[in-house]
This record gives sequence, structure tokens and C-alpha cells, in this order.
Amino acid sequence: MKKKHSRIVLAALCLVSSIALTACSGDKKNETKTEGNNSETNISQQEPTDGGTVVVGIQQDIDSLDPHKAVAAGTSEILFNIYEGLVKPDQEGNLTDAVASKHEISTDGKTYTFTLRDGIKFHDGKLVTVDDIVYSVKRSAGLLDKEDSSIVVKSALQNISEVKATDDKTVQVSLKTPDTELLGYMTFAIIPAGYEKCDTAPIGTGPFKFVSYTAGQNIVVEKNNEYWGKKAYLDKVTFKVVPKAETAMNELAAGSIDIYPYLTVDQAAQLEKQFNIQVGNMNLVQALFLNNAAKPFDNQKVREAICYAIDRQAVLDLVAGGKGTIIGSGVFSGFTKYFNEDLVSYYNKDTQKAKALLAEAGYPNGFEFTITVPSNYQYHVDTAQILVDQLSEIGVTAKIKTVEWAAWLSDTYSAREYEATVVGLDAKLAGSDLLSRYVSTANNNFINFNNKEYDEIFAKAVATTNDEEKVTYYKQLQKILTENAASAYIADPPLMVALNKKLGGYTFYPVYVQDMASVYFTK
Amino acid sequence: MKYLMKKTITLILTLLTVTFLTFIAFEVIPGDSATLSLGTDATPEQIEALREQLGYNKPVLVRYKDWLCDAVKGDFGTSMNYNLPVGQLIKERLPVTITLAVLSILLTVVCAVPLGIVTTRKEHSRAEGIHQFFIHLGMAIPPFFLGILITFIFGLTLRWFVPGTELSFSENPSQFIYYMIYPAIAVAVPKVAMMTKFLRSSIKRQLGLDYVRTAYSKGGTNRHVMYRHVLKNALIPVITFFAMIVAEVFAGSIVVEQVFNLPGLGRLLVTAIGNRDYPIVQAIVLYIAALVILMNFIVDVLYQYIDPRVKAE
Repeated sequence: MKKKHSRIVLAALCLVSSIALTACSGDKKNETKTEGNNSETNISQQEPTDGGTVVVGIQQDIDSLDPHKAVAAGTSEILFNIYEGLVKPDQEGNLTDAVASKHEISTDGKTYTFTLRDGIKFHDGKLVTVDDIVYSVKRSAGLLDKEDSSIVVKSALQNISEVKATDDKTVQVSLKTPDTELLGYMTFAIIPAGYEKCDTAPIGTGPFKFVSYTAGQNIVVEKNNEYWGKKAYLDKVTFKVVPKAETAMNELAAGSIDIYPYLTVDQAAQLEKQFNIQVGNMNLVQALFLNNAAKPFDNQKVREAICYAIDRQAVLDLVAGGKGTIIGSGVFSGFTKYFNEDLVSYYNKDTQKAKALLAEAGYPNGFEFTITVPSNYQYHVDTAQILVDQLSEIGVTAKIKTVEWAAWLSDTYSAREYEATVVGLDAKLAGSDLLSRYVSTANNNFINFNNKEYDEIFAKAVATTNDEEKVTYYKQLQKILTENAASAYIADPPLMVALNKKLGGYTFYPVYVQDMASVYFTK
Repeated sequence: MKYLMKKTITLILTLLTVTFLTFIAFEVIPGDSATLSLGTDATPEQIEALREQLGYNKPVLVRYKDWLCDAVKGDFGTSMNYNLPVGQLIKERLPVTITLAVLSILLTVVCAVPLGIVTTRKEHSRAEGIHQFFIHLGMAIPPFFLGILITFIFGLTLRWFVPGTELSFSENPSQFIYYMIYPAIAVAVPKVAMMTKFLRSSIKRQLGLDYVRTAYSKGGTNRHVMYRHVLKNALIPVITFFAMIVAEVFAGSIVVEQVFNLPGLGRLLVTAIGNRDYPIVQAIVLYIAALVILMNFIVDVLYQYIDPRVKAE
């Protein structure tokens, strides 16, 4: 009797320990497997069908349903399905007309004229009028008489001086100073005039209609059958908040989630068999941002030394499984028109040179500093860990301090109390959006970059109405950033998405967007 | 009556202290909801304007007083992040948290009491070591790891439940409760181990006392002595311990709610702290504190019934 008893216990022990062992060995297996991962190519090209419901896993809850109050990139990529601007980005990175059917920019770059699309309707069935457009522009630009302070006014839109409807089809937007790129910001949502309930009951013109939102849990949208453009295939999409990666992996394996963006390399390898893994770009400028006003980074030689110490390919190999695009300055490669390729190989890893530069700067034995990283971005935390390792080779000791997003925003970003930080910067479809922050007086110049020549060229770049000139200026600006080693630019990280094998049509955009209208079930 | 008065005053004072400390904590930690909701493109003037609008610019004490006056009236304010009444947000999440707590407490009691009795009986046998091993394993295993393990075994391998099923108490209560058993196990296992250990040592202490010898010499069987005499006395300290466990079940469910992605109070609390959404945090802290104090109060009263000596003191 006793013997039997202990045998059962032994069996139970074996079971427990084997489970523990398999659970622990998971990671290693993945690391070796990622090399042969060529699943980018097996995008299903089968015929699309109408109908079906899909659950998309998202890592963070949305910050507001009101499109003019939302700031998180994770929110705007979802709201893209509900709201539309006068223009909207397409997959190639061009701006196409949406609520407006036509737009015109005056040759002096000071007046924008939009023509309202015929017969376009809001989700509540009402026709969109010029009043709605005027109201939406005013609300986004901070021009309403009674302004709600929680509405976020993009600095570029503060340039708008007047909005008026010239007839019942045309809206004219006038600017204080010429800006030919403002169109890239005109993607903000058009909402019904005077409608203040967008944060609980959104009404837009997009391919999906809002159904419900449960705080912290999910947001549900359904197909808009009266959409003016190409209608969505899916009947219903649920964006489900799954904050823990482990939980998301379990739910994917159980089939409760169909689409899950922002996979890590390990997760992608783990899901490879059950899901189609598609790879695109995150459309971010990821860098080790250095506070140019803090010691020792106020010394250009030190910043250059840091740039020479970093092996960017090794970072991508270790954090992103070798995917992603290396960058050399403050613009990511998705901006094909403005991206300055010559700068990519400006700083190649050179330990000797880095050490020599440090010695010249007066730090022959290196120094210590802290890298502050927002803890909610695992990718940046992982990157920082690799950087610490690489910097130790030139005798520089870096410590990582992970902070909550709220703390990062207030202390690091707004108050600029930091030495270095790893994050990614996203952008609207305007070249100026990424480069304006380095102007010495810009309020979002969180690295305290200060260069007279840069300021002058930037002013010219924004003002010029000649496209060719603009491109040249923007490339010059990137060159100044690189030559002055404003920060150690690393890469545009890869965006890996797990997709249910029955789904097709998932498209990547050069901006932060999850376009569900193009997704369909294959036959 | 005097006793009740005294207890009530302590209750109020404790709640005041706890909520005030939470309020202060929000002053100290960096970041506020104004900076958060305006994001990376805000000018200092815009942030200042929003702070003004949200009432951040008033002194802490004034804000605490305002909050307190509303809270007493049952109005916990509006969530800064969701723009919804806090009361409603909490009400939506109560079914999950309460079901989880009740199930885990039930599981703990149902498992721990028999286990405690059975394992004391097997004293000095070889099984003793094995019991000890499992008790220590149970206490050492963190609920989040257990949660992952349970999902892996029962959800993905055996497929007894589907992780991530959409749940609604009002629409499908039986499915809801069935699903909640798994997270409840994750919460309960460490508590079962702790309570078993506690009950064991309590029974052992009782077994060495004179009255047990008397009971045996009167001709009582093992069974008779255990259930008639020992257990009744051994359970008294366990009840105190039980009150502590109730508080811990809530703490444990905060973690387990994350692992199982359950829309409960714990998850709301964690998200709200990240968002610096202090009306929500205040309300939940108040709620948990009140619950813990109330449980202790009930235990105190229970004591008087079980052990008349307590009252005499």
C-alpha cells in the first residue's frame, strides 16, 4: 500500500518537473530557430470573401476615443478604422483624398482649398457638410471659442489662422506662414459639428462603425455598409486589450486572438507553425537619444565616440532577429523621398576611434551614465541592454533605469532631466514632423540640440514651395544631425504580426496604422 | 455596544489614513494624467491649461477634502482616462473579482481543512516528508507562474477551457463560473498550503494538551477525539489566519487577473496607476481597505462566540 502511494507521488513529481523543464527551455529553442524564418514570403494570395469576425490583440488600452484627444500611437492606429481626415495615408505613403474629394495648395503655400466629397455620410446617416469640416479643423487647430484643454493641438496646426467655408462644397484654410507640407497633418478626423460625445460614442466616416468600448477590455467595431470607398470585408472586428505577453501567447495558441502585432523575435518563432508571420516596418526613428545639454554629452566628441561604439547590425541581430532597417540620422527609410541614404554608414563600429575620441574629450578611462527607458516598450529595453554591453567595450559604463511611461513623459521628455534614453519617434506623413524637433527653440526638442545652421535651413525648408529644394534641404538637415552626432541613431525596428492562417490582405503602412478594411477571410 | 463604537471609530480612522496616504503617494510619484493625456507633442502652456482644468493646481489638502466630501456622499468622481464615473467602472468589474475571491476562499477552506486533519494523522509516517514537500512547494510557487502553468496544462494541453474566452456573468453565468475556477485554483494553491500548515501545527499543539489525554482515557476513538474535541479548539487561531487570507486573496487576484486577462478590479487598479488616474485608485484602495477591516471586524465578533474567554478579557 505504502509503496503504491509513493509511486504515485513519484509520478506526480516527474510530471511537475518535466513541465517546469519544458517551460524553461522554451526560450533557447527559439533563438536558434529564427534564422530559417522566411515566412514573409508565404502571404496568402487566395481569393477574399465577405463577412466574418476577427479579434485583434492590442497591448495597451486606447487613451481616448475622441480623435482630437488621443495621443498614443496605439490609439490612432485603431481609430484609423473609424475616423477619416480630409486626406488620409495610403499603403505607399502618399496622401489620398478622403472626406475631401479634391485639394489645392496655393503657390505661395499659404492657402489650402478642400472640396467636400459628394454624398459622404457620417455613421449616424447624416451627410457631411462644410460646417462639420470647419468645426473639425477649428477644434484640431485650437481655434474654437470655448476650448477644451484636453484637446491636443499639434504644433504644425497652430500655424492655421483662419478656416472658412466659401460655399457649400468648399473649405478654405489659411496659414500664418507658408507651409507646403501641412497636408500631412490634415489627416485629423472630421467629426460632426458641435458633437462633444466622441470619447464615449464616436461618429466618423471610416470603413468601420463604432459598436462598443469597455474600458480596459475591448473596443468593437462593425462594417460600415454606407462607406463611400471600397467597403470592408469583415463584418466585425474586436480589438482586445491583452497587456501581458504571456497571456497573449496563450490566447493566440488557444485561437482566441486572430491578429497580434508587435511580436518579439521569440514570440514570432514560437507562433510560426500556427500563424502566418508578416514582417513590415514600425516606422520609427529608434535611437539612443543623448541629452546634448547634460555632461558629458554636451561634448560633441563624446557623442561621436558613442556613435562609433555602437554596432547597429548587432543590435538588430540580437533584438530583432536581423530584421529592421538601419538608419544614420533622424528620418526613417519609409520616407523614401527625404531619407538620406549616404548617412547610414557614416558611423561604422570602430572601437579604436571611439576610444581615441574619448581620450581627446578628456575621458581616457571612460565614464558612467544612465540610460532611462520606458518599461512598457520591451523592444527598447532589450536594445538598451545590448547597448550597455557594446559601450563597455570602450570603457563606458552605462546603467539602465526603467521607468513607467508616465514618469518618462514628465521627467525625461518634458522636463529633460536625463542623460540618455532609448525610444522610437513616430511621425505624420510630413518630412518636417521628424525634423522640426531639432530646432533649438522647439518645445519638443527633448535632446536639447542647438545648431544655428540647422535652425536656418529648417526655416527655409518649411517655407519653400519648390519640391526639389525642399528635398535638398531636408537631406542637409539630416547630414547636420549626423555630423554633429546629435544622438546615436540605430534603426527602424521591424513590425512582426501574427496572422490567423485563414486571413489575408493584411497591409503595412509607412505610418502607424492597423487597417482592418483590407483584411479578409480566404476561401 | 461600547465595543462596537470603539471598533467603528478605528474603522473610520484607518480608512482616512489609508486614503490620505494614497493621495500623498500620487503627489510624490512622477508624472500626472495631464502630461500623459497630452503626450509628446504638448507645449508647457497646454499642459498647464489642462492641469488647471483637472483641478491639479489646488493644494493637496484642499483636493483631498473635496474628494472626501464627495466620497462620503457616494460620489467617487470621474475617471480621468476613461471619462466615465468611477462607480460605474467598479460596478462593471465587481462580478469578476467577487466570483474569483469567493471561489478561491471556498477552494481554500474545502481543501485545507481536510488536508490539515489527514496530514496530522499520518504523522511520523513516510508520507510526512512528502506532505511537507508539497506544502512548501505550494507556498513557494508564485501565483502568476501557477497561472501560466494552469493555462498551459488545462487550457492548451488538455483543452478543458479556452484561454481568452469572452465572459459575461449576466449572459452565461455557468460558463463564467466554470472559467473562473482555473484562476481561482491559481489564487488558492498557496493559500491552501499555508492554511494546511497552520492547521496542522494548531492541531498538533492541541493534541499534546491534557484534555486530549482525558478524552482518550474516557475511551474516545481517534475520530471522536479529533472531531469532538481537538478540531473545535484548533480552529480558533485558524479563523484569525483566515481573515488575513481574505486580504491576501485580493492581492493575489490582482496578479492572477493579469495572467488570465480577467477584467476585474485588480487589472483596473494596475492600469489606473499606470495612467495616474487617481479617482479610480482612490476608490479601489478605499474599497479593499474597508473590506480587510470589515473581515477583521467579523472575525473579532466570531471569536466571542467561539471562545467566551475573549469577551471576558
